[in-house]
Amino acid sequence: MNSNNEKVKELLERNVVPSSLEPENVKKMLDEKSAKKKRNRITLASRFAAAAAAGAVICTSAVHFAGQRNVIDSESGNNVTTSFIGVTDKETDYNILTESYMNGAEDYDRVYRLLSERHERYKENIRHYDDAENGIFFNGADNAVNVIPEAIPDGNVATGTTAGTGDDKDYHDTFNQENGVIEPDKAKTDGEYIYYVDNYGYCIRVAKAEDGYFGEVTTIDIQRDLPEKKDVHNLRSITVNEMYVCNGMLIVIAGTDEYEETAYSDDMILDTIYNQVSDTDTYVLFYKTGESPELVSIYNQDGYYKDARISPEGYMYLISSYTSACFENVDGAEDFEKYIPRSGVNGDEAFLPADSILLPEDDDECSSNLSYTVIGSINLNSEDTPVKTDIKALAGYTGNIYCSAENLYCVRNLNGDSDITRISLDGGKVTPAANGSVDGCVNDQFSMSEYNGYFRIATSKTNYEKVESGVTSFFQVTERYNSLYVLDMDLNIVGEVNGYGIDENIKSVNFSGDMAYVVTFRQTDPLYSFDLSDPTSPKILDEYKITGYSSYMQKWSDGLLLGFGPEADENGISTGVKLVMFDNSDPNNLRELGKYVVNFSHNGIGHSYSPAVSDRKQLLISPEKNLICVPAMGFGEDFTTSYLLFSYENGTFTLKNTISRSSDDKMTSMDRAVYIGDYVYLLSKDFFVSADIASAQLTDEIKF
Amino acid sequence: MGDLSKDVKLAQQGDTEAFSRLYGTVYKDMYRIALYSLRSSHDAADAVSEAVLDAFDTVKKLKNPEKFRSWIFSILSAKIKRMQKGYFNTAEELCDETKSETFDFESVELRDAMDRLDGESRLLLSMSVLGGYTGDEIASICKIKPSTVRSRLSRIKEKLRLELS
Repeated sequence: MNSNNEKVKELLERNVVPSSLEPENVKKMLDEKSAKKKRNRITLASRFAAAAAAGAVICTSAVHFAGQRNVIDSESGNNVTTSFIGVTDKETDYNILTESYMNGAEDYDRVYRLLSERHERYKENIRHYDDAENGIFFNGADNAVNVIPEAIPDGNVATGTTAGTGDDKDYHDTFNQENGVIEPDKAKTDGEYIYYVDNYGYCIRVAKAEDGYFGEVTTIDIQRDLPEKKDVHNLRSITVNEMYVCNGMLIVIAGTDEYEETAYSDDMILDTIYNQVSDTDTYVLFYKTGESPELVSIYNQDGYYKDARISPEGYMYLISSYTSACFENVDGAEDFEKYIPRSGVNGDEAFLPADSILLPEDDDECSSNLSYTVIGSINLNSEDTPVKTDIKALAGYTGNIYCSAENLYCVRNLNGDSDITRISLDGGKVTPAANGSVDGCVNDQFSMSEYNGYFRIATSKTNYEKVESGVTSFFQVTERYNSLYVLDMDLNIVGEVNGYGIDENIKSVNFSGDMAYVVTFRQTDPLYSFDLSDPTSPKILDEYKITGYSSYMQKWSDGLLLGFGPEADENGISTGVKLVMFDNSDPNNLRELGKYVVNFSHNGIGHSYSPAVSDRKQLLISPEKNLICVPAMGFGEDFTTSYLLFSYENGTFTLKNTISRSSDDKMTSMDRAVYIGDYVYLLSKDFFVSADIASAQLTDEIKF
Repeated sequence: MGDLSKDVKLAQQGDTEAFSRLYGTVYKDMYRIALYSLRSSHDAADAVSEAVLDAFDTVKKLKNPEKFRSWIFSILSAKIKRMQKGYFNTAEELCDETKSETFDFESVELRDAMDRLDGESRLLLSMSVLGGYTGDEIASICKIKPSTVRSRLSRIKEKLRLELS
C-alpha cells in the first residue's frame, strides 16, 4: 500500500548520517571551533551586507485600518538577555529593578528613547568584534531569515465551556493548571461536537460525535475569514494556533506573517528573497457555534501568539510577543508603525497609548530592536459581541507567564535570574501591581503557583563562565543548582529553599496546595517533596530517585501523583518513555506505586518516541475515566502514529490497546485525545478515530 | 513540534549543549536533504556543519522559537544552493550510501528517476518529502518564487509518477 511518495521518503531515509554530524560531536565542534566560526560569520555577514545594500528593508506599510493616532512619545528597548555578544561582565543590581514595569510611558518619545539607548549599547558591545558583523548584519536581513512558522502545538487536551471543572459534564475538559482559569487548546469538545485545528489547511474541523460514531463534518475556513493582505503581491503565511469553545462561541486564535518579494544580488547569484513586512499579527476570531458557525467579530493584536486564558470572571486574556523594526529602520520617534504595537476590533485599529506601555527601570539591555509582551483583555460576558476591555504592553520584555484566578505573573529572564511582575486582572483590567526578583529561571508555567496569598516559584540557576578562545569567547556552564521561593503579594521573598538538585535542571514541577513536587534530572530523576505550609520556612521532606525523569506531572487522586516522561538507564541514556505513579500520601516517604516503560523498539516499531515529552497537551490524563492516552511516533518500515491507551488500578498500569495508523505522504500524526461519555476520540489533521474506553476497541474512523 | 523555547533561550546565551539538543531534532533530515541535493557525502557533511556553525552564531536572531526547524533549514538550503552553483556538472556517480542492500525492482526504477533530477529539483523534492513543507513554505525557505516551486514540484512528481498532493 506504499505510495511512491512513501518510497521516495524511504529511499532518502536509508542514508546513515556520518558520526561527525551526531549531536554530541557537533557540540564538540561548536565548543572547539570558535575561530572557524568567526570566519564563517564574516562570510554570512558580507552576504547579508549586500542584501541590505540592495534594499532589504522592512517595508513601510500604511496602517490600512482607520484609527486614532495618539501622539505621545515613548521609548522602546529590546530584550535580548544574555546575548552571545552583548553580555557585560558587571553584576546586575536587582534592587534597582524592583520597580520595573510598574509605570507607563509619559509619551512616545520616552519609548523611542528606550529603543535608541538599547541600540546604542548594542552597537558599542559588538564593536569589540569584526566590523563586518555590526549593524547591517542584524538590520538589513534581520527579517529575511525569519521564515514560515510551523503549526504551534500546545499543552493540555482542552474541551469544555464555562469556568469550573467537573460539574455534570461527561466530556473531556482542559486540564487547567488553576481551577476556573481556562487554557486554550488545539482540540476542544462541548460534548456534542469535536473541534480540531488543522494548521496545514488553515481551518477548523468540526465533527459531530455520538456514542463513538462520527456524524457530519464541517470545516471552518480561517483563511477566508481573515482580513485581506496588506499588499496583494505579498506572500502570507497563516498559523492557526489554539481555540476555545465557550458559551456558545468558538474562539479561534490565529496569526499571519506577510512577506514581500525583493530581488538582491551578491557576488555569486541574482536571487529573490522574502522579507517579512512587519511583525506577526495575531487575530482572535469569534464564531457563534451551531450547524454552520458564523463569524461574529475579529479582534487583533500585534505580535505572535504566546498564550491565552479565560478568567473565572469571563474575560479572555491574549498574550502576544511583538518585536519592533530595527532601530536603524525607524524614521524617528514619529514613525509609530515601526515600533509601537497596535490592537483593534473588526479592522478599527489604534496604537497602544503611551501610558499603556509599561517600562523597565534602569534598563541596560542592548539590542537593535525592541520586543514587547502585549496583554489584551476581552470581555466575553456581553450579550452580543465580545468587547475589547483593556490592553498593556511590557516594553523590552519576553518571558514565561503564569495565570491564577486574579493575577497574571510575567517572568522575565534577566542574566539567568528572574524578574517577576504581578499584573492584576480584576474586572478585566490589566494593571501592574507588584514587582520582585529571584535567582534562577523557570521551566514553564507549572514552575509557579499562587495560593493563599503567596506566590511560589521553583527555579534552576545556571552559572556560566566566559572562556576566551583565540580572538573570540564563549560561555561554558560551571554550575547548576535549584531553588524554591515563597513570595508575598508584593513579591518580597518571605521564605526559600536553595541548593537542591545540584548539577541538575528542573524538569517538571507540581504545586498542590501546601505541597510542591519537583523533578530534577541529570542522569537520574530525584523527585523532591516540599512542605510549604509555613511560607517563611519551606522545607524539603523527601527525595526519591528513579531512572529517567518526568517531563510532566499531574495529580491523579489524593495521595497519587502521575508522572510522564523519558525513561533512561543509570547513565542517563534514553531507553523509551514511561508512566510512573508516585504515592505521595505521606510526603515524608515518597514511594513508587506502579510504573510502565514503553520501549518502542521491543514492539517492533523500530525507532520511536513520544512527542508528549515536549508537548504535554498531547496527553489525555483522566482519573474520572481511568484513562491515560500517550501518543507515539514510529519510524521503521513505515511511519506510524499511535496512541497507547492505559488504565491504572491496584498499583499497576495496564496497556489496554495501541491504536496505530500508518501514514502515507506527509507525517500526519495523531496529536490530541478527547473523550465524550464512554468513548475516546483520537485526532489528527487527516483523520479521526474513536474507541470505546472500557474495552479500548476501535469503534469508528473518518478521513478528511 | 514541542516547546523548544527553553533550549532556544539557552542556546542564545551560548549554551552549546542546548543548541546540540535543538540540532538533534533536525540533523538527520538536514543531512539527507543535503546528501540527496549534492550527491556527495563529503559535500553534504560540509553543508550541514557550515549551516550549524552559522545557525549557532545567529540563533539569537531567532525571535520565534517555534520557527527553529524551518529557520535552520533555510540556512542549510542557502549552503546547498551555493555549493550547487559551484559544481561544473552534475555528478553522475551515486554515493555509496544510496546503494540499497536488497534488490527491489520498483525501487530501482524510482531511484534511477530520482537520480536523474537536477540539483535544484533534488533540493525541492527532499524539502517537500522530508520536511513536509507546502509549496509556499519551501519558497520561503529555499528563496525561490512560489510559482516556480509549484510548477517544478509538479513536473518532478509527474516524472516520478508520484501523487500530486
